[in-house]
Amino acid sequence: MPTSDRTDAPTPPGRGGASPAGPGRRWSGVAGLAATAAVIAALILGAGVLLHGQTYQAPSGTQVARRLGAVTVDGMTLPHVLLHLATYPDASGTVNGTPIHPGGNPSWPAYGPTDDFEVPAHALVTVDIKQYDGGGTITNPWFATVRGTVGGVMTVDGRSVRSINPNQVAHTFTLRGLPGGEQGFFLNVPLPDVATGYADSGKYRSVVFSFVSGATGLYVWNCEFPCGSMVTGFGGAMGALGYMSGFVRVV
Amino acid sequence: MSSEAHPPAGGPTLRPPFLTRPAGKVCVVWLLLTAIGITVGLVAPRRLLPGFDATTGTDVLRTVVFFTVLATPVAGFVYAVAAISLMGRRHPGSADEPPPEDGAPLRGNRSATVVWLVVSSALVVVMLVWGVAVWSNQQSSAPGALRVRVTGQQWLWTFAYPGTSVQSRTLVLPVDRPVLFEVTSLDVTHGFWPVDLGTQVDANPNEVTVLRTTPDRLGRFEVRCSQICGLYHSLMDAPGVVVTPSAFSRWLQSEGASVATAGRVARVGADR
Repeated sequence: MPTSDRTDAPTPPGRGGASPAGPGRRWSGVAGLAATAAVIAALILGAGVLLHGQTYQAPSGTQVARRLGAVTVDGMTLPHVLLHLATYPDASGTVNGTPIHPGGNPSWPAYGPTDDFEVPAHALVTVDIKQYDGGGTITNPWFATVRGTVGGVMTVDGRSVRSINPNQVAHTFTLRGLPGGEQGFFLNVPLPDVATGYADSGKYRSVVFSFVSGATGLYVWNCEFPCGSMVTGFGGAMGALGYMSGFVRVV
Repeated sequence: MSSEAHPPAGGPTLRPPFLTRPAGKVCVVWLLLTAIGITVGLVAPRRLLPGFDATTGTDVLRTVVFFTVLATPVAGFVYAVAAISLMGRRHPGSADEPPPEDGAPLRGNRSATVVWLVVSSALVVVMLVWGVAVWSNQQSSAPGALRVRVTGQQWLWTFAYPGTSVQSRTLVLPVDRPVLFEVTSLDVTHGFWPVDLGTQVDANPNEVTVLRTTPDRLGRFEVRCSQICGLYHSLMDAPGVVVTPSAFSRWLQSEGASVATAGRVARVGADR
């Protein structure tokens, strides 16, 4: 048999002998290492290609702003769109038959009906928020002031205000641009709490504000009131996607 | 001459290793690697690292270059010995050719020990002195420094200017004026990192850490978080800009400071 012939063959002396410890075995070891490295590299590359095109999928889908027509702001005629949002003491309910956070933690506060929004670029965006949650003292009073809206104001239950009491904040809607995009874009709207004892009672505070959207791109929003759990209230709902943070896609 | 370079085969050698042929090869490769490394060390950092807008960044750049140049001969020597050993002294692994006898041991070679200790100690002392000098220079308080309170929270930075009511998401600094950052956090540990100023410090809850620098170039820069702090850590950034003292005063006024207050806060820098 060829194998026995090879095994029984005398080993030539000196370097380059075909002994088990010789170059042939060494090269087979190198080839094995190279093959293993190639497989690992291919797996990493494949995973990278698969993940590269992935984007965040909101559990309740994306709310596309409803077009209302056109409006003139500072002498410019802009498209006017509308978003409806709400903030709930817990994520267990449904909005128009859709769960606020499908598969999520029902005891965490959450924005609804989704955390992912789409608005046109360079448009006047009016946001109507029904705020159902209780609140408390915000850690940084700077976020109790309205910033970045048209006129620097919002309406609370029909009354125009520039800031709210830092000790009666439920949540904030804080939106900003990202590096590489309109990094200077910044919007902050504090949401006043419902009266003590009325949280989850169906009573709500109506907050309405408008802002002019920036250039196309991805913007991120989150709540700056520590309404979560664990470390200083910034865990739980504040540390997970789909509750107190999300994205605004400007298209 | 030739007999020194080519000792009789199999004959014992009493000369130190660095006088044998492999030692000569090591010296040649060492010098070559050192020359290449020093050249790269002098040129590459200034081309690869971003241009800095503050004295702290310039100090960092100088330190990187200086330490690289100091370390290059040591690294070059290690790589040269490794390369010559692996290429020229490697045993083929044949069972019929046993490994040769070991060469002369280095242990007990007083000259090599003394050289190694003296060179290593000198390098470490030089680096220590340099590092302490740069660090103490950055830590020394400068008269008339502008105080800026930096607050990190998930996942935003805000900047307040004591003496005024101004608080902003944009970090605005006057050029050529020392700045004292008082850094803290409202929740978890963040890392205050004004990238183009070439400095950073942790922002810890319930603690105030200080950081000093002097912006010396007009322009925009970026503030990022250098500590993994949660869901949107990668998005925790803020815009920054270095402006003239007069532009800084105008900006304070636009943010709500009175003319007198803005002038008082900004004038110190303008007078320097």
